[in-house]
Amino acid sequence: MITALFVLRRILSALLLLALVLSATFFLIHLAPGDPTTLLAVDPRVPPEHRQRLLELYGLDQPLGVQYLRWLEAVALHGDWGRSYSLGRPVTEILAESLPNTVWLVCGTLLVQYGFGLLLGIAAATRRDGLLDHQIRAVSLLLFALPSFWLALMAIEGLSVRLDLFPASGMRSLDADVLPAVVRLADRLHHLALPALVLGLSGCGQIARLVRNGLIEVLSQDYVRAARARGLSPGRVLWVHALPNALGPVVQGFGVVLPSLLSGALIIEAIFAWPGVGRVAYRAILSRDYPMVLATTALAAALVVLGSLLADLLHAWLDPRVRESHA
Amino acid sequence: MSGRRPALAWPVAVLAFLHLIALGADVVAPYDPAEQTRELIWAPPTKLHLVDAAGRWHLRPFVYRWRPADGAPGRYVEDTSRIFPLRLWSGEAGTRRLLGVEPPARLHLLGTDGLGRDQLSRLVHGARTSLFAGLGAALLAVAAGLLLGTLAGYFGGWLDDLLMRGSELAMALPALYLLLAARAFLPLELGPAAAWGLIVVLLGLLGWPPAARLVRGVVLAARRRGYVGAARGFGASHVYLLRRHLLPPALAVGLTQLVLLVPQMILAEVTLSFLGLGVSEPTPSWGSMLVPLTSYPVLAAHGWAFLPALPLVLTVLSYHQLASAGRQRLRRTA
Repeated sequence: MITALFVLRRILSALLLLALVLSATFFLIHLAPGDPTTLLAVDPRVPPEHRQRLLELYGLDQPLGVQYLRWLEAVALHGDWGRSYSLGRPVTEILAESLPNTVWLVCGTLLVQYGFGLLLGIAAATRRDGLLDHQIRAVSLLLFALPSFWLALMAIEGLSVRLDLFPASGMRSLDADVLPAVVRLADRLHHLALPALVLGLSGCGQIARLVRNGLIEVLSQDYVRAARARGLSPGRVLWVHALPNALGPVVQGFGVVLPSLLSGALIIEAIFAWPGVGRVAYRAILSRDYPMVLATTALAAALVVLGSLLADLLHAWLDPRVRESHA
Repeated sequence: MSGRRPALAWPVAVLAFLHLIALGADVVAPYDPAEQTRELIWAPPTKLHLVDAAGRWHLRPFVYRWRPADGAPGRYVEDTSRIFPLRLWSGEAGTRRLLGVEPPARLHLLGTDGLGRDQLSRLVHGARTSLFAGLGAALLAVAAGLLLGTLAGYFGGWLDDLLMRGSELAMALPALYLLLAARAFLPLELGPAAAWGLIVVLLGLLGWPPAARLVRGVVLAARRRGYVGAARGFGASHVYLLRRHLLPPALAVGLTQLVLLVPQMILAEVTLSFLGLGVSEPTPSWGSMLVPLTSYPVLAAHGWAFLPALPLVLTVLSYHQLASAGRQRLRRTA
């Protein structure tokens, strides 16, 4: 009972947060100077009445409050996010095409980030203040200090151009359509490897530090000493007894990792020509495509809110103390 | 106690050096960062010599001119017919530069870019854009965080609730999407100074929540201390309490936050410029200098185009070292 109430409350506050983010974005972009027809106004071949007609077509000549209510009605009641100004297609259609690609990228990245992060964190914690610990800290700081786009360019230069190991852009080969399913999957993974590796590596130091600190704290506790004294193997003590209890902050940190991951994905998608939401958002922003920008921001915010909701629920499920403190 | 005490000297020295160079960019840079030499497009770094082509030693380092290689467009070889000694503090009065060579030779210690502009000069002027954008944005964010965090922690109640929910909202936003949206909906053709200011303000406004939350925690903890209660019992005013007892610990937290935020803000400015939404050409930024690398021919053939990232990495690493050293010293005094 307590759990159901906790979940319900978390979901409600997540929805409220989402609504606030969307409204804030709406007013921000509509209040900012310039509109989608600004670039037309510069062109002397476009008569002013055309611009006026476009404004009327999009409903941009109405007062801001009216625009907001209309937009709210369409989105909330009909799930209608409008048509992209620059592409002329329904926004939801474009996002439905690009979202799976971003999910591929994000999943691949998370795999790299948490995989490396866990391994490095465990290695550092079990050799606390040793040479390896210091080296791991130095490397993760270096990876964090490099802007991810520079890391991406270096990876392209080294692994794609010179060594020709991975494709440098896109998410499939030209002949992917005619390949058998298994080869097509391999082709997809081959294209995914480089962007996921770059984005994952630049964030893995953060995870490694959380794992290291959590594990060091747990390893110094009495029950771990008791387990060792009972003669359990060091591996069993580490993986079965200590590690699960050290992961609380790591799970909770997911809510913070996801926003930075989505921002990073935007840059990586732009560099690797990965046809995901980030690239769509980047182009929409450059062409002042209001419905597209609102929808991509909404999607990104929704993913972030969903991520932190998941992290909280997972944390509560893993750690009864959290559950009870919310009861 | 975990091992050695982090060094404080080298990050301070490195950062001081970089900021001094940025301040003195007009003198340090050998050329105007916007000056184009169309005969020297993607010329490799000028080599400094002590031994000339005939095998004679010279006391003063000198350079040879680049001339286009015969039959290989886009490649350069040294023209060894005449030597050009390196000159310190050369040029006419008023436009003196730290380092230079006599024309027609040109000194490109880090090579040139696709428009034949001197990379070193652009790097030095770009330092001004990027370093100070990061510093300004971080200062703004920490100032806002200090103000709002102190208000929330000191007065509590609905104000605290409002500010903390607001900070949660701001932290849940995918910052880059919002930043790009805000930047793009403002006029694209801004002057360099206006664009710079805009970026600083936008980054600063997005960066306040973590600082505000930390400061709030510190103020809240300090307010519950016995000596604050005693002071209030003696009839101390809000202003006195804040100034005397609550701001000093909050300021210490703000300072460490500042040092942690600056590198993040620098990276954010560089990323924005890289995406073409920062300070516009021809004003250099460390980010826009890396844009040519997105084309494969440049990436594969002109290794020196990677160089602008080096000072960036050095800066970020120095700030991190400074932050960890500072944090440990503060902990000891606390």
